[in-house]
Amino acid sequence: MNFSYEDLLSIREVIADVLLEVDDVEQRKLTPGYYVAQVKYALDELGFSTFFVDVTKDVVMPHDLLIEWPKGCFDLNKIWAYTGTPDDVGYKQPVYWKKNYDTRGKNTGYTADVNEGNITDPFISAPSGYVHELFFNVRSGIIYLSDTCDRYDYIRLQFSGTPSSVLDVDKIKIVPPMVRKAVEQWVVEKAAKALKAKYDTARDQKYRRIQTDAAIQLDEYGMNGSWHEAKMRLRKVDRKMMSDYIEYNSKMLY
Amino acid sequence: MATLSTLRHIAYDVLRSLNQNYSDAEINLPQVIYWIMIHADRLKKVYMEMMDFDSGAYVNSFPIVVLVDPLNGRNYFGLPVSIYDYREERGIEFITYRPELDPNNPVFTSVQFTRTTIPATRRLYMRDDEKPTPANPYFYRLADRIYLLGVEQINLLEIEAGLRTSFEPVDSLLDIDEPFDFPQELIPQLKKEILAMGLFVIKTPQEFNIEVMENALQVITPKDIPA
Repeated sequence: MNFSYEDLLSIREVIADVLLEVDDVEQRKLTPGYYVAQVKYALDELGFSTFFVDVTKDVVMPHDLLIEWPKGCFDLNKIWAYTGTPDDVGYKQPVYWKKNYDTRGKNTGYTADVNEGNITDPFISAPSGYVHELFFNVRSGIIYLSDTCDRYDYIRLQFSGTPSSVLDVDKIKIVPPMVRKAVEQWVVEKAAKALKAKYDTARDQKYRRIQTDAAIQLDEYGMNGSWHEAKMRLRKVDRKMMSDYIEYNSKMLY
Repeated sequence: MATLSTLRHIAYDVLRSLNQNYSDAEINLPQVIYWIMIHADRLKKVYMEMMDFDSGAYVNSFPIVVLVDPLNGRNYFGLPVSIYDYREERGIEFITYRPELDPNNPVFTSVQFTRTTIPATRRLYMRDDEKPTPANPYFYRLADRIYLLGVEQINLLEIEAGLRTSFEPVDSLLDIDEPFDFPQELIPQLKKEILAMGLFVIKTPQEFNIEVMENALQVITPKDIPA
């Protein structure tokens, strides 16, 4: 399922319901920031499971061929190198991940198990015919590009973003409407869990009850709650894409 | 709110009741007023607690100038009146300031200060979302000063505070003909407590015994207050 960024709900809208459910309308028991942080926490967890935030970032080809791992990126999906500009893409070529590829940067050479000079290795065969291919590897938060990338002007990174980091720079409207119920119950569960330590007594375990109710409705690790429903909704392919996909398969034309 | 009784009404009522039984007792008006103030203070405090603070009937709002402590540069203001010392600073209903972001909203919906304590502030700085900022400010109490956290950089001049004010037992400015800011339905209980105290004073020490003490020292507990 996709959504417009204009349809995103504000954090406050979710918290307004949560405050009623945990009896903290005046926000004297937990701080306002605590609730905000829990909303982000829920969205990040959903993002890590469903990759629902796709981000594209264009980076000018650096002189040293080293790119910092983009902020908010937790799962790299594609890397392209291209000539031209982001608004006028020319020749493009995918950049592939090379196992154990290690370099100190441009024109410093590289090491890798599979390399064109390794013709005597009894275990790893030397490849042939790919000296013009583009490679990368990631170490310590740096994307190391192969020297062959230097012929291009830009690198395009396509990745899954951490929702709390990527959605809405003001961090105000970040909740997709289809996951509102799950996020709300997540925050209620977390808030009640925090509150029960201070406010529950042996006689009155109000927050334990609230937490348990929310956890049952959420069912984070099962398939009978709002959490699973939210994940399914985020992963669901739009009907147009699905019908086209069926069409392609039926024609055997891709 | 119905027209409130004045302090004079209550005081003379109590005085008359005491004089009817003990015509030679030397109890005068200032003494009765003092008793009223200390008992009314306690009853009102219990009453608001019983109401679960879910009413603004006894909250007074004050515009207050914010000062800077020259010793440490912290923003603070002194409490303009005495307030009730409840758990979690419930004597302070709200503190707010106008950030002038949304002129359509009343001041108290703009930015409210969240209550904290000095030991708890350390945790606040562990997470960006909870860190004190002008948009997410905090307050903590040190004796009769309220310190403000998160607004150090914005040159805050004035705040608005809603306070649950307590009675001053001795108040030179007290006008006993002004409406007495006290729950009307508690006046019978108040009178009962004061008469019990009067009885205790009159009979002490000549007729002091267990029975007198039990009668005199009976105090109103929350369950005596009608819900």
